[in-house]
Amino acid sequence: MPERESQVQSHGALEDNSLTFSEKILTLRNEVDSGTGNGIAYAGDFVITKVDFSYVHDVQGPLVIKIFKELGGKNVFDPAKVLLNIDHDFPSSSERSSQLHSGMRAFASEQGCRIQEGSNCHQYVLENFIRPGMLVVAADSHTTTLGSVGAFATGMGSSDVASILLSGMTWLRVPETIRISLAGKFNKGVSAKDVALKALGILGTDGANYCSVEWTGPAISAISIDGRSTLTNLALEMGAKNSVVEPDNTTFSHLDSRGLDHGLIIRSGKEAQVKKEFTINLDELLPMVSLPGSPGNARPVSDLQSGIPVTVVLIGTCTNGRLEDLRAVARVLKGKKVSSGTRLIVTPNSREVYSSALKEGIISTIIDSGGIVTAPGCGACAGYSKGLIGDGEVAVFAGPRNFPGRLGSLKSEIYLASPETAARSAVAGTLTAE
Amino acid sequence: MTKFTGKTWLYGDDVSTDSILPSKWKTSSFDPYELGKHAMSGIDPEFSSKVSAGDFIVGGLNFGCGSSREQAPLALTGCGVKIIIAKSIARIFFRNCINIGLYPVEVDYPDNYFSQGGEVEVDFDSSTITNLVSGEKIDFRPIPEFLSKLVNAGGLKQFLLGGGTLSELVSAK
Repeated sequence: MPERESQVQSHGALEDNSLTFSEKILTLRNEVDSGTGNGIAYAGDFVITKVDFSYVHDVQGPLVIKIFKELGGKNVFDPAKVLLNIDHDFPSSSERSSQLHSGMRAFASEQGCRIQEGSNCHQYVLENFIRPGMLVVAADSHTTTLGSVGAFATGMGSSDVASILLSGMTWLRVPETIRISLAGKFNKGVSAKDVALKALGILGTDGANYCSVEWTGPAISAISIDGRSTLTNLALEMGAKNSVVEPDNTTFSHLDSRGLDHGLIIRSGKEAQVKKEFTINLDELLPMVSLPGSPGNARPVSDLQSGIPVTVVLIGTCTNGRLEDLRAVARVLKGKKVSSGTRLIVTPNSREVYSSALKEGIISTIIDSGGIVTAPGCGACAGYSKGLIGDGEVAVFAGPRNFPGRLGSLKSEIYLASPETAARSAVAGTLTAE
Repeated sequence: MTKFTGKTWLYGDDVSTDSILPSKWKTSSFDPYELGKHAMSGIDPEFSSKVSAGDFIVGGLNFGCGSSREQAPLALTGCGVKIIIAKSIARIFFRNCINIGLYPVEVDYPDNYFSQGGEVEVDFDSSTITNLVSGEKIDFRPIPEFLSKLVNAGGLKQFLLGGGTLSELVSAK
């Protein structure tokens, strides 16, 4: 155990019921005196911490490499802790992308660090590396996703990540905490995506800015790692710095099945001061949708006028391209046809998800219904190919965000919804959760 | 660095990085000047032809939300934008601004305080903004000293190249 960690453990930070998850982990991992005298990093303090794992994708990666070299970087801090991940435009849709990818491959080869092509970065690292208590910083906003297994994970830009690749360290402000408790049982047709959209409707797109979002409560145990990853992913759309679910038996089965150890379990103190706290009762939760323009425009699908025509349905991304999402889609599509005026485009978010979906017959169900399945990765959300939309189109999108132009044309409308609602809309040709 | 004077370009709440630098341009180049040709084109296609060096962007709540692409604030510096003023700035965008030497100013300004194309002065010593048309002054909350140090150095890269270190930053907070 590192010296610092044992020192702080003797202070009892891990057992201190008055500290949040983020305060505990950043206390354990703080490399400098936080100035409070007792070694505790409280919300609002600044810390310097080592980073356990860092990765870049093909949008920010090439800029990260450029800055790393401009900084005089010769070797990354630890090649085993660095991943170059090609997912935004893979297989490449242009010569420009191919050249950028070549640069990433060359860098990985000269540094001896990991490279992966095809799977979305967040899903790939969840499948292979991420354990409870890890501190992860990556050059993508949705890095918050990894809190689904109890890691502290946050996104930063290219300069920050270039400096991390150089030193293995970064500075962080200890975030305040917003605690969202889940109670009750899911109604039919309702899933983690609907929970997240409901929370987005309550907090808005900046309600958790600079904060840590903890998902907790009696209903969390019934949500799989896939579902939890949707929750922690979408906390970013509320402005969160990180988001976390406390590890439990579901987490341990996930880790065991992948040969990953249980890491360091950090439980958020029940008496800790939080900035805000509220409960979402699943018994009352209906299928949700966010109206075009912002993920915060969330309301029940049933509040909308019926019959809004939909030209295209996209399902996938780091938010909704997991196996559980695709299973929900296949259940809806089984024996049905996609409406003739609507395109259905599905993007599994990793090679592993793609392969499992193939074995389970999900891919053929989608194809037989008239939908199409693209290569895995980020899908159209990355803005390169795989179904970008044109002027006047109306999309239902099982993905993270619907800011103007997110999927292509500025003159298009994007409704965010769950994979199940998206699939039902593809069959109906109109926005519907029925 | 103490005072800057510039014209203001006004935008609303939730301006995302998809608006500041639309996806199709995000990896088109890493040269700020090239990226700058497409700055704000997701919300204001004429922006790059009407902006002048030294101008300020004024946003509402949650400016720069969405993706972490550093190319978005880089595009703004590429057309000479010096300061981002907003009621709130999204977390990663805020860090990115500091890291490339673009000044972020968070201030809860009154409605109609700024006008399109109007001149304002931002004074970092007194943490005030003065509307040079109306003469009205408002205060803003200064950023922590160590972030001022970074942004004044021209960003993280310049700070590190100048011999600065992370520990010196945080211990100087």
